[in-house]
Amino acid sequence: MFAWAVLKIAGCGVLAELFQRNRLVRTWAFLLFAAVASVMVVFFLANGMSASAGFIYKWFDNQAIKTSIILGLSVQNIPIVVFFAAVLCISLYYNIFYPKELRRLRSGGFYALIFTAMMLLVASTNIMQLLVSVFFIDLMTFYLLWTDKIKRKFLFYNFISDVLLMLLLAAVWGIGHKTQLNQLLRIGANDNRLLLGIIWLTAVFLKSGLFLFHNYILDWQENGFVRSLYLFYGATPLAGLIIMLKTAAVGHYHNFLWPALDIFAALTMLGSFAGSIRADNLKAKMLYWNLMLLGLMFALLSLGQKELLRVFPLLPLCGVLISSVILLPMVGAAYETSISKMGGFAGKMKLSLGLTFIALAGELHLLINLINEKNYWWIMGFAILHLLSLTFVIGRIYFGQSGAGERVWVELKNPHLLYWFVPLLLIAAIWFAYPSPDIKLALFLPLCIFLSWCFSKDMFNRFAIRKDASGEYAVTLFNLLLIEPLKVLGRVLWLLIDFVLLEKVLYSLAGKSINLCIAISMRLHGNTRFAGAVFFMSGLMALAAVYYFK
Amino acid sequence: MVPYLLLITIMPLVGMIFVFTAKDNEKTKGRNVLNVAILTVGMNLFLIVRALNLIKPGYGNLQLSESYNWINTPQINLSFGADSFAMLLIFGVHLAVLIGMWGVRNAARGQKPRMVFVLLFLSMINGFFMAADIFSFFIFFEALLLPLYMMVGMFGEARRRNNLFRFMLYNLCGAFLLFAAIVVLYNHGEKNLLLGGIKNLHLGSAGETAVWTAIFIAFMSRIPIWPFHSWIASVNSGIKDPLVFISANIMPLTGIYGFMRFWPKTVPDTIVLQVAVLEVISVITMLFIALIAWVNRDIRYKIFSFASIYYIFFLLGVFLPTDQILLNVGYSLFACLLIFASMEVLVSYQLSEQSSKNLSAGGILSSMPKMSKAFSFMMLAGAGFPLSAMFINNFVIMAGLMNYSLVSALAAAAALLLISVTLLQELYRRKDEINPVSALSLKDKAKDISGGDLFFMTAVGVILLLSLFNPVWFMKG
Repeated sequence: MFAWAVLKIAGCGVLAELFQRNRLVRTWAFLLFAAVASVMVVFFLANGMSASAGFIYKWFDNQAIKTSIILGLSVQNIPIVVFFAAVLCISLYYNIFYPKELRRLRSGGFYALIFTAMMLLVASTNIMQLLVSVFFIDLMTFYLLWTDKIKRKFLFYNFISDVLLMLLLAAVWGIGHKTQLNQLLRIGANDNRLLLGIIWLTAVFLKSGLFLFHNYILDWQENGFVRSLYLFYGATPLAGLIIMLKTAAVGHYHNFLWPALDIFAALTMLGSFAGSIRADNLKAKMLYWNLMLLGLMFALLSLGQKELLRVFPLLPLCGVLISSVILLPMVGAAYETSISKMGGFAGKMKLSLGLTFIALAGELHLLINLINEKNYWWIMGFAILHLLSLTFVIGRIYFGQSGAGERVWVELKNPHLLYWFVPLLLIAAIWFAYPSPDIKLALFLPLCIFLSWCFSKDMFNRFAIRKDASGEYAVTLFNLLLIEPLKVLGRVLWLLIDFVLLEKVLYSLAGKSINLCIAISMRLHGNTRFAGAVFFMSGLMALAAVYYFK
Repeated sequence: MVPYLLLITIMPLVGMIFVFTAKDNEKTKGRNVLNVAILTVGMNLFLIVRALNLIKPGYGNLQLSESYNWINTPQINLSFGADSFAMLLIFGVHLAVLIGMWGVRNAARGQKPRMVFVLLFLSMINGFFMAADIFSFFIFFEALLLPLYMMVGMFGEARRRNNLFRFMLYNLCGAFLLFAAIVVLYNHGEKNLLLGGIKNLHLGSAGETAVWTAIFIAFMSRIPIWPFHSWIASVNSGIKDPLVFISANIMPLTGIYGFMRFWPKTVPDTIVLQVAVLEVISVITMLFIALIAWVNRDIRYKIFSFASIYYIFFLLGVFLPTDQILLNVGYSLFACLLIFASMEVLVSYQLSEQSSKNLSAGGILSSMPKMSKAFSFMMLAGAGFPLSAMFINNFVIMAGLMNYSLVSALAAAAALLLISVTLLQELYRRKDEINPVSALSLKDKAKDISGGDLFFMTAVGVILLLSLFNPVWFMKG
């Protein structure tokens, strides 16, 4: 059932890519959404969300390697599948009417195809399926990026990550020659566990865009809102998380690995908090908030797989909720994305402001319900940083001093009802999942008072730098420490080995030796008085030498 | 029984005679000889697929054996035999040459000699891959040099003539050393010593060292391993004719194949040191070539480096003390040949557009959407994305290397990563819209490839994709 549903969605994606249309694009986009949604509805109504062995394709079966592609569903994966299905439907829904998206069928088709690859990743129980699905996610994500500059950076980060992952899995496969992921547990103490662990962390960090590797994700602010949203929650960053979940056994190779993950998760949250305050572009802020959430999910994973799985699907969907309410002022202000050109919108966008408040309350409610003794500090830390940053930005948009131009001011209004549907649905899902109010709310009371104070004082204004933050320091760091030294090494090696050693010493010496032999021979055959005698004597000496050495 | 192996060797020679006698004038512009050559290669491909379907899959067990008496005193036979590995390589070489022929189909001059020598080259390399005894092996090993020398000399436009002479001289020195080793082996063994039988001979410690060292150098001189990489690079990367470039860059394959066929899996004690040295040199050379390719601006050098690094990587796979992954090496080599040949043909077209319209490489693909699609596919496949048999088989080879020596494997992986990044960097340099292309008038823009070209490249892409799912899709069962 599950495999059929996924294959049908893949079919929708392929059809959308093959039959691109320039006319009635919204109608076609709606039909794509309807087709995918109906597949999912049928799947849910048929009680398809139960574990099933699914579809099996025997891929390789030779003396070196035996592997299959399996598309089945386990109980553990159900919340993850629900999350990705929800993100796909939400993105296809926005794809129908979001005006900045011009190639709706193309992008919708790729959303469906990436979803298929993601399902392959989620369902993977062997190394090859995991690798292939990761590569396919990369390839199709690549086609959703708008400019070649973004594509290039994306490809480098993800390609390096994929190669590192391949190295790790090749090492694991080489030990038992079995492709099952549970082979990861069989790595012995002498099998360079620390090195493999470092490769694992680097591969996942690169793919997910954690702290220091976040540069390629921030580039997505140049993409449209819907694409950015889907790319973040449906493609590579979450793929990194799923890879880590699937290969979590590697985390036990060395005591240093989980603490390292904790440190990077914390740094991602802190760095993204600072970035979300500094950035002027609303889409960049959205990406920073999403990165904070991703940092939290990695931290939860370090507490144990169960801790991560219990927050699926609602916690990441909460990120989608926040992104969808942040979209409201952007759409209302005629697609203005600079915070510095907003402010004082509360008067004209009361309904949007109200919905935003409800969404924030929904997030608080969810976090309170997810908190427990194990994750207490992580969720508290995230809640404080996330809500501080959010309230600061929302305060500036709705209550801050207006920097809006005449065009924005004239066109400013609440977005039409289509934009309200997703936030309302997600808020309803949160309240439906956790209907009873919790006494832990009291814990957040001081926080809420503090947030209100932020609203009035606008304390972060002094830190906000009105320019687009793009994480360029990370690029500079990599250039200085890695790229340039390698380039210099390449040039030095060429100069020393090829040019000086081979060309100017060895070849030159060989050439000159031959010339010397020729010159000597010519002299010996010359018509001078003693040439014949020297020639004769040298012949005798050569014979004597042969006789002596023999 | 049909002598398939002899037919596969002779077919290009027959085609060569027809090419030689075919008429071409201003009107046909070399198309007549080209069509004969393409037809020859096509028919040979048919025979190869047929032979592939007759032999059992696997490595080492030579089948369809044929033997023809050549000289009575001393008795020397021409013996042929093939396993699926050898046939796969022949299949790959034929497809690569076919791609090269597609690339030169509009060449203004010299179509007849080009096709004559390339068919001769094909015939010799077929004989080389199917040789079953050491004399047949040596004869084809040496005979390969003649057509290649002629092609490089006539169409290569090598940047420095000296390098060409050096290239030939060292190849001949290598061939001479192999000849000396074979004479020694001949004197110690049976009269028609089979390739796999060398390990059973008892040569004594000094003899073993001398023979293996000679064989080592002979095969190494064909592979761009330090210190041999320098002149091979200067000749191979300087060739401007795509067909000749492809043929010249197929040559290192003969060195790797030689190591495969001669190399005992249980290395004799006397040559343990040489093996260790060769492995270290191989890994260092991979890194070295990858680093130079990264800083070098010449795209042909990058393609040459791509092929060379993968050849050395496969060589490291050959040295592993197991026969199990050799078929995987074959699958990967097959895809590698097709990818680098396609890359070269596409690059060659771009370079000709650049030189004729005085365009820079940066952003050239932005005005060539069809070329951009084909080129992107090949570059991504070359970089290791799951678009060809290289993906899964390189994984297997890498796993073998990691099991054997983690340091060597990591260094090799670093080199592969570096060359892949180099390819991607070049791809995006060419795709970036850094030139104001839209501002150029139509006649100043680079002309895109035709629909036929795109169709041809799509067919190559489909073959590569099929090889991802099943590398031997053309075989029954």
